[in-house]
Amino acid sequence: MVTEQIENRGITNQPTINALRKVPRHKFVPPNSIERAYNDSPLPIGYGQTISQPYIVAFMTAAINPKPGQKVLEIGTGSGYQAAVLAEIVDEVYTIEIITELYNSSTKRLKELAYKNVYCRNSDGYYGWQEFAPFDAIVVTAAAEYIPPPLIEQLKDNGKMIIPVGSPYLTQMLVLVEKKGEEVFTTTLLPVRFVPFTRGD
Amino acid sequence: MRKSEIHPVKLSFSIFLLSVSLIAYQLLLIQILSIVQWYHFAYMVISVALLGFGAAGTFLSLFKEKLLAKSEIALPILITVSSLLMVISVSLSQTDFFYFDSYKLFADLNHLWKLAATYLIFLLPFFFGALAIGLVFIKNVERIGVFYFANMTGSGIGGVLAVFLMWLFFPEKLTAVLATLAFFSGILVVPKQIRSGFSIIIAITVALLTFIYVNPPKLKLSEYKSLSKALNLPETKVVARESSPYGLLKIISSDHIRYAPGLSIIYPYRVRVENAVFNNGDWLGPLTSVMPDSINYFKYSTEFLPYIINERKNVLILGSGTGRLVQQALFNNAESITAVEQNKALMELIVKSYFPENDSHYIHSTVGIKNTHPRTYLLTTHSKYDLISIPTVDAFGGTSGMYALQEQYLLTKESFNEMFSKLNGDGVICLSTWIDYPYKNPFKLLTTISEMLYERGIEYPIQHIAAIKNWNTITIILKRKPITHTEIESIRAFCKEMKFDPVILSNIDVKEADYYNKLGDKLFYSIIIKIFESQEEREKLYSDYEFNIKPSTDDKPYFSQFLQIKSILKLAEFFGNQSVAFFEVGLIILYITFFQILILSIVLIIIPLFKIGRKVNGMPKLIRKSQGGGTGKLRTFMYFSGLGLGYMFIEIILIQRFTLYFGNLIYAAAAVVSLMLVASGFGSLVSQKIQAKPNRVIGIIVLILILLLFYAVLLSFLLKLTIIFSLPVKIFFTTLIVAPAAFFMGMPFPTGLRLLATERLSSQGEQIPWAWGINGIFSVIGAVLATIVAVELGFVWVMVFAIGAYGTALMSNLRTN
Repeated sequence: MVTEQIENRGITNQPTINALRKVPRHKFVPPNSIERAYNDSPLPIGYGQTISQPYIVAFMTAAINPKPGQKVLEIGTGSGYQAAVLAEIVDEVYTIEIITELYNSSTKRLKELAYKNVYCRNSDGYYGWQEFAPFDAIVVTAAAEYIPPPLIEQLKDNGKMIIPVGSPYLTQMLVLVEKKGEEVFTTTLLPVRFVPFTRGD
Repeated sequence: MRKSEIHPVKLSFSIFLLSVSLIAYQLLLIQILSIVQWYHFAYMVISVALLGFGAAGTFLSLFKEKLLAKSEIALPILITVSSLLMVISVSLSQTDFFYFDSYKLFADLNHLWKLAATYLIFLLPFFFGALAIGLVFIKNVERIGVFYFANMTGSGIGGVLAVFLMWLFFPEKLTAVLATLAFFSGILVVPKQIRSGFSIIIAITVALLTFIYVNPPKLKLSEYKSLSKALNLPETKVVARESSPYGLLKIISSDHIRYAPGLSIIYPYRVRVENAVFNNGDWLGPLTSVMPDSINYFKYSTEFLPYIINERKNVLILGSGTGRLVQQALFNNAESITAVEQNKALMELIVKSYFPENDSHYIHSTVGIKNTHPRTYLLTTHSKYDLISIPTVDAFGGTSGMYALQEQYLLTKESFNEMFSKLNGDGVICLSTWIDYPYKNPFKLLTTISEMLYERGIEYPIQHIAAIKNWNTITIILKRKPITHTEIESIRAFCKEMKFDPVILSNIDVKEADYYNKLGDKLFYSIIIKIFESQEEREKLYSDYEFNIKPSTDDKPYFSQFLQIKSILKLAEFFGNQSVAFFEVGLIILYITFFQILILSIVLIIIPLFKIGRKVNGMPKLIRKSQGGGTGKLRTFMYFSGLGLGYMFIEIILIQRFTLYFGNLIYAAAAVVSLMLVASGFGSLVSQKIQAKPNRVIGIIVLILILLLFYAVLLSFLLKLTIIFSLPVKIFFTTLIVAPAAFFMGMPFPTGLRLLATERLSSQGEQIPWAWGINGIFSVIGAVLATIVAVELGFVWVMVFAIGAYGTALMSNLRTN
């Protein structure tokens, strides 16, 4: 999976690649999807949510350039897969899930897999996790209509936040938010390179 | 052949009631599938219903003798089975075994089987109902006109009744109501000799229908529908619901809903959305509290753009929905606000029933509400406005092509032209859209607007347009007069303050367009430049770009249809598994429906041919020759397929034309379909008096063709001329326009059947149920094909196809020996 779907598509961030190799993705998908766990596609996990395509998880992880010693906040634990990937790289992962059922199952799963540096919380991710702020990076796994002001506030100076744009089956665009002093800049990242789009060019 | 012992009037009334319930049930299934899945399954329901009729024709061809021999008993039983299956199929469709999720169709093969199984269980009530109707037709072929009249008028009334009943009953309960109606039509035709025995069936059926009415099946929404997702949030609950023909409205209360398109990244507060409205499980809009001026998010949104450059005293909001833009206009001190919203049930639910803290903007003295289609309002108003606002185009995150087949008359070139004409000198049109990727919505809006301006003779459209963006939204304004230098500078200052980027200004520097919110490539800006270059450049762009970004027009009003067949392979190559999202689910379902119908049709039409063929071959050579052998069958096929196709094409064109006329799709469809069916029913009744002779048939079809040519040439003109009149006058005009053609269109079918039945020894007599089946099957193909033609070629071509279909029927030269 990693060579074919991740490296061959241009992701070079070594900590990300190593983490994806370590995390057993099949432990994060529902039993009826185990056969497709390493397929190049998102999979349903119930409650209208999906476990993202491996490439998207890798792309989002690489986009924040995680390093040991860092503290990362994740909004939308879902299956817990993204949190596990981050936990392989950074020191502390704080992850928030609003849907209680998903929170319960992901907490149990992460505990069983012995991810001791992942801290889970069942609440509204909009408000972030003030108690442990500021964070080096924030990964928002669910599309958001607008960027919650508390998250920008809880981001360290020079911190990075990544947010997907699109429905569960249509994640073609990710937005990187960078805080530089008082200024905040956004950059649209296109994980699926598709340039130029016009056949004539 | 033994004639029916049931009195013909009673029998006709039974057919009438059964037809009422079958059509109403069909509309109800569309509503139910729109709630649990998505609206595009409407095509599936239409095809399931008509295919049930076609399959019944085939079945009758094969087992005619057996059924006729026991028709007295078979008739009430068939109707009762149809009635019971109406409730059972809906209940079964919501069980785990049958329940499919359209989002999962592409991820899990099991859901394809579940879809096929659902298709089958929905087909059954129509099959048995149609079998009953077909049996009466065949048994009484010499009085076919009378029974066809009952069938057509029943279907017509059924359409209107369904709309009426949807106001009274929630969809899950309405199933039992319609099944009861169908069951009653069965009781009417129970013959005397089995009445006592039948009373047990009556008791069981009544008990079952009552049970299902009291304990209706719970409709399970797809987990991917926005309402399902919202209800997963903690302490979120449905606080109000209302059923209407527009859909099932639900208002939820939640602390976790966020909605503020175009919001600046510097906005430090929380936008409070206490309640949100969903229609058929899809997001409709937020109900937000009025916020103190100092922290009001309206000032921090790209949507504030029109208020930056001028005051907006007289505001028109087209498609005001839950009233967010009304609230914005009030916040900006508008003195007169016209809110146009065609969903009457929504307005009543918000304004009259529930949330005084939210609806204060709708009951404000400066707000006038118009319950009509925005385009109809534009065509009838003489007022001029400082600002015309349109709600955000497309849903956040995209809809994966769910609405590719939805006609969006508000976003066509003609619509923008009408809006432009209603602007004061300094007036602007304002609209926003999410920045999708690959870029589609913003480009199509801009090509539509710029082409409209070119056609108005404006040499430099870019002087009239300004656009700004945040990280995910672009807001565009279109000004009647050129945007001045001072206005441009105030837009720049606003962008700087809010960390927005200007995207279109007549003197823009590309660097400033990509400063705070950078896009991943420069393609977005280079395409925008091309849109405002020469006509040749635009034409080249349309053909080079992988998606359809040609301007949307009234003839092809499918704004959200972007997929081009030529690009499918390339998209699949680039996006791999993710490319499914671009294949516009609505369009895929339409094509899948079309091809499966085509295959099934071939099977259903060919099977009876073996039997008919045998009968012909068994006849003396002289008679066989006189029947025309294979030529006779070809004639029958051409004639009845032409009628089926032609009728559906015309029905769909008239629904399209009258949608804007009445300002409401549901009422236009109900009015047109009902009027056509009732008029055709009368045509059928009158045709009973016409002798079944080939030259009479030819005369009738020629008359129909003349009336269709009249539609092609004059219909649009007549509708534009009379659109300003009151509703009763419009209904009168509609009757005057629709009824004559529909009256004559009701004649060729029963006359043709009688023509086939003329000769006692005729092989063509054997063809009657086959012909009936062909007509049903081609009505299915017509309904789906008309939409494909409209999407790919435009509505003008649907008319051409309709004329061609009736031409085919004419050329068949249907006759006896």
